[in-house]
Amino acid sequence: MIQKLMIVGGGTAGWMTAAAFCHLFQDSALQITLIESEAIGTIGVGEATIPHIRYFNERLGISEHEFMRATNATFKLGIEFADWKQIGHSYIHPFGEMGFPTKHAPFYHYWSRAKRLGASLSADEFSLAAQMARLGRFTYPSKKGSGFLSNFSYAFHLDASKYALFLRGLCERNFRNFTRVEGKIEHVRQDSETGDIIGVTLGDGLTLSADFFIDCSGFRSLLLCQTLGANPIDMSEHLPCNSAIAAPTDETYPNVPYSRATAHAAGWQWRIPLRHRTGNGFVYATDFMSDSEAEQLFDGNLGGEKLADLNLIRFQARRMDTSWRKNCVGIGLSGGFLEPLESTSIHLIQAAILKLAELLPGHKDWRAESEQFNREMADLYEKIRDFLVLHYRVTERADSEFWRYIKNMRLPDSLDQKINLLREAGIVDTYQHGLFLEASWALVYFAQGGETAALHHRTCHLTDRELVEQLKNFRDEIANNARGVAPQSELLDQIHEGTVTEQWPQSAMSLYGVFS
Amino acid sequence: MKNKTPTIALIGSGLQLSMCASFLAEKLQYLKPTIVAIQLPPDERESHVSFLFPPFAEPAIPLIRRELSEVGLQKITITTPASPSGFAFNFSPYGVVSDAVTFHHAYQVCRQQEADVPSYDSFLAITPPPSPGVVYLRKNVTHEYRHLAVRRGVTYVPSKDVTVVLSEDEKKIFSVQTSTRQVMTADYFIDCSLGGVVMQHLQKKAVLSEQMIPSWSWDYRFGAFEGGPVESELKLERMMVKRIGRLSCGRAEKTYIFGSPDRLCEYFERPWLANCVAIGSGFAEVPELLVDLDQILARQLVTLSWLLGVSSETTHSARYFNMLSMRDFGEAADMVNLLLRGALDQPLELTESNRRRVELFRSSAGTVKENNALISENAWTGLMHAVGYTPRNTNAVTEAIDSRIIINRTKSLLSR
Repeated sequence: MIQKLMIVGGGTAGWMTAAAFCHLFQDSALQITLIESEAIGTIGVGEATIPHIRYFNERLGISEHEFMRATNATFKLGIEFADWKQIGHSYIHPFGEMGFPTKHAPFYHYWSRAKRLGASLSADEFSLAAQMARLGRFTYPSKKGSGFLSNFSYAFHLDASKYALFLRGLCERNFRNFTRVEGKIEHVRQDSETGDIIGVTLGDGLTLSADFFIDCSGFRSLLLCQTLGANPIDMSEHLPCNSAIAAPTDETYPNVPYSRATAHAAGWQWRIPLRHRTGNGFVYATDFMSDSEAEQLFDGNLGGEKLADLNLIRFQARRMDTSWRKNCVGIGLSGGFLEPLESTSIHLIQAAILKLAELLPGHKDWRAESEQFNREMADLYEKIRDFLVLHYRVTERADSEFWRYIKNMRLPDSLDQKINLLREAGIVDTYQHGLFLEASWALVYFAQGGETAALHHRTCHLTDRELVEQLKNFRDEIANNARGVAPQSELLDQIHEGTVTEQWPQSAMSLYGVFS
Repeated sequence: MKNKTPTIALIGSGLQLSMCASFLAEKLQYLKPTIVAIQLPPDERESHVSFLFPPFAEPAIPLIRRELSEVGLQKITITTPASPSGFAFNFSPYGVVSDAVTFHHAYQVCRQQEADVPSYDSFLAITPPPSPGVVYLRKNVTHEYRHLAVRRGVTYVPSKDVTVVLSEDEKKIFSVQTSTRQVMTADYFIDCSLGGVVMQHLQKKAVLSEQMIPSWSWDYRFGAFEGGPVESELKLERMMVKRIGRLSCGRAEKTYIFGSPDRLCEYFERPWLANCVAIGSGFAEVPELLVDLDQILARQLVTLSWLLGVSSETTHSARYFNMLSMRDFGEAADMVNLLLRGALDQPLELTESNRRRVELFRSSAGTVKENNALISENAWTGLMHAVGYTPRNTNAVTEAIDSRIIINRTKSLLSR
């Protein structure tokens, strides 16, 4: 069994990994060391999260309210996509189901038929989470209710650097088997026969050894890529955005429990409302927009005063051919990167941690485990990539070179089949192991104007008139429920002031509810 | 707003034809399809007993369950020379002890450290809700399904054989003619006949290497009731596999003799090609040891019921259907390959997917996760134990926990 585990890098990925492994191995002899350098900045990925983070925190025994206070968090019920279908149009992709299925068919078949009948019904109106988000309300999913009262979930907007600090405090306070080392790695030492990594030498000459390494060094991928030669698989053909500028601003939105992603001429812009400030970023493709154009547009779109200088980040959509190579696993940006359009960065970290924890064997021959880990991570990345590309491709926009490129680019085969199956047969090619399931695929596809030639006969137990009437009644019922919920700010104030009972629903590794 | 009313010709016999007829007639009812079932002479399997194992809970299956609910099968035992062990289904393998310590890992710790570890299938009883399988006489079920199909408007046309007429370009089926010279044209020809008598006019079958699943022949006997619980059992001896079912009406025994050059593991690589769809026995042949072709057929029918008649274009529907069908066939073949590899005297190669499964299991009791799997992770683990694979170890998290805690918690599952 491994005796020493070394984590290289102390950003969000490094501290999430450290906290998880310290917790899992707290009663063992495993020594865990994290090396980070204050001289090396972190990207601070993931100000917007998805509901799975609640599962991660819960497993670490973290109080949700304490976590929210420490990270200046607000609630998040979904993401508003503005100007994606066409300029002026918006919809919310909520954390939850769209309607709920009957014994005959999933809900989207009913919605799709009603739309063809000319009914004016937005796809996201059939989600309580989306309706609450639009009204600035927030409540937890109901344990007692059924259907739309309970089939949604929630996540957080948070200050990622504060989350890393929070986890650092947890590790340093609670775990005897943990050591943090400050320093910059100058040299990585490898076994001359096996090529395995055996240790690192820091700038001050200190040498540290371990028998298993987790590379959280960010885009540099110091161990996995630079030392062990993992090869990045470029995904930029399908996701051409390669730059982002980010800056926090001073305004707050106490009753906006959702992130906003607004499409522009060569990418999109995010707005993430935290408790004490707003996170902003502008993602763009340099083949279609210059840095100065981007900066000018970004500045013009901000809703408050900048609290820091612009941070320019260059990236490439990619994943490593092997995230686990020899005795090293890359977690976070060192293992791959997909633009944060659906807030998947922290989830990819979390997924890698959980997969590694399940697979890491009790002995030192991990060929079978690394093969399985790499297959699962590749599958996860490719499914998320397909879902992100869906947003760009299913649109009426063709108003710039960027959008015309997207319209004509060759799709990944897997996505091409998915979109064509939706067009032809009106169904989603769904799967069990993956992040975005049938409800999300259907909602984004149809909300962005995707069409289908199929008319699903299974909904024909209702006449056209009955169908439209029932859907309108259903929508109104959801809207009435949303209006009955208190504004988000009421609960947020109580949580941040510590004046509310520490109660929240259980967590689940799902976007679509916490009780299913 | 209306869909085109499709005409569907079904070609086959026995249970599979009637399952297909009744299921499609129900699921496509709002399309008001014209369904004609061309009923070929029954093949020899129709007098047999079939076994329905719990993981296959597709909509077609509860129908059988409902009709045969009095014949509950609570336990399925596999006996092999290598390892008397059990076979379990349908309980979540996760979070038994803590995160990252799955039931597979916990069970392995028990086996390593305890002499009296209950067999893997003992844990089936704790599955919430209990998930019994069933044993049933195909003839009786065929009769029930046929009755349902006729009630839903399906027309049965008996025929000794069919003559297939291709379109001019020979790329699709133009019509089929019955032995009484009735000519049928249709939008879809659904072929569930043994060997795919219609589909074979459009494509040749592929054959799985005999190094992975050897050719076989089989023999079937039905005798008097012997008493004891209703259950099924699989016995593996040298080159023989016996599948035994005990019912209140008698004892059924189906014996597969491997190495006998009678039947091969064959399949159509594109079960949906042009206007012809091959399902169940019309799609593939595989020794029905743990997975019956009825179960593959049931899943194919579910998929098909979402695709037929919804659009005039079928290119991507066919691709989707073929991908799912091949995945199910691959899993069924993998399961036979793994079972035989552990049981037969003849050395067999593992399929590539089984190689991964075995290596991971032997290394640290891990399981390979597949999407939309026909066979559950528990079933794979049960089979690994049954055929005698022993993990070297478990995962590091499991090793880091006091084994007494793991053993106590695992055993306590049985006492709940």
